[in-house]
Amino acid sequence: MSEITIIQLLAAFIGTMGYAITFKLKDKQIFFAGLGSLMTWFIYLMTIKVTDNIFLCTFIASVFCAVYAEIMARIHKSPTTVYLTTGAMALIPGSRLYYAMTGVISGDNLMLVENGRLAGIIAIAISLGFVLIAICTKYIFKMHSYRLSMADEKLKERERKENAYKR
Amino acid sequence: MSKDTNVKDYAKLLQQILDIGEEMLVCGAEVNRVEDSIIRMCQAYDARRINVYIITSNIQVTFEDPMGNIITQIRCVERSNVNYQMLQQLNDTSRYICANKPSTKEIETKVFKILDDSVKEPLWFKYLGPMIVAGSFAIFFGGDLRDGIAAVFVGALMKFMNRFMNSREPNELVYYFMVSVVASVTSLILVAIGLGHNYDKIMIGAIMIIIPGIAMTNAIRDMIIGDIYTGLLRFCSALLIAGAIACGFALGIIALGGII
Repeated sequence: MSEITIIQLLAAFIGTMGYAITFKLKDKQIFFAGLGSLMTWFIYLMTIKVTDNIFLCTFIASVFCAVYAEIMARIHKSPTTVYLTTGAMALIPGSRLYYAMTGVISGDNLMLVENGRLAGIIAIAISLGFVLIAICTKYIFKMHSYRLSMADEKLKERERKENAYKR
Repeated sequence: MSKDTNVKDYAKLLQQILDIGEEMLVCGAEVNRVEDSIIRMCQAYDARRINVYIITSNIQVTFEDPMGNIITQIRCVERSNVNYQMLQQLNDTSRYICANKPSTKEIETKVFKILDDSVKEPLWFKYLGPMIVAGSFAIFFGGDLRDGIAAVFVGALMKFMNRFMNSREPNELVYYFMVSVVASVTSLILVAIGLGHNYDKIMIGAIMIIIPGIAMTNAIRDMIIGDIYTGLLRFCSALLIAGAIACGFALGIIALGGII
């Protein structure tokens, strides 16, 4: 790992903790929010070495972020959004927006199109990763409760019939 | 009629449930989570034929209570103030309500207590978050230490602007535009007096505080999951805000770029 990588990881960690403070998280959760962002960015840096495809890298990183968020949400008994939004902080294309804007000012069309396109691609990749994991966890955790609810439903049905009979 | 709950006035109950739903939306919960919570809470009190529909700023609920009255209420949600601590407490409260079916009075005191608790926070703590965000993301995107320090100042200024403008400027876009202009001019000045080196990195750090990136991501996610109206509205608002921020920073650069 080069020096720049370590600085970036640390900056993502501390910056995301700042975000957690603005979103009014408390003590331990601030730390874990920062940790999620750090690991997400680490995954991104690892994958970007293997392939040049930014969509794919962001997608993989956001999938990791979503898995981390689901686990953390269950440990700390909090909504998943808390760790999703903070974990994806480093992936958010803030600099792309800036350079697209610079492209507009300086009349550099290529810069505008390239950065704008990448910003869109990154946003879509992040949300696709989130949705994928959201659907997976839904099915994994619903299977159990689904069976329970079916049993419940049958019981209610029987009660309903008995009541109708009594009337 | 309903023996296992201590609630008789279902209109009042629905109002309280909507209070919880509204605060959850304000705190930054996703739409389908709030819909789900409202449905569960209504089910806990034996309401039938529950219909819940939420678009970003509008909650609509209709149900039939056990006595056979049909109750409809609509709630307008105009604010937005992300507060995950409060969201967690509200979430816990909604679970508690589902499990224990408390009376309307108890719900009221519980919600009031949560809202009351959230206000207490020292002033410097409010400034801490944006300062850290701006400073570290300026470094994250390739700035050096002095850029980071300059960005910390810009972050503090933006938080001050936020507190100043919040009550004075109702239009969100104008607010973002003005904050961006100030941030951009300040970063250029900070570079001119020699504190920072690269004004673009300082500005990116400042942008990371107000960028609607999370809103954009959530909007796309909402659309994919199936809340198309919510997603579209949020997407449009995020795009407009991004545009306002870009215009604000552009104005600062155009105004001062030639001089500095």
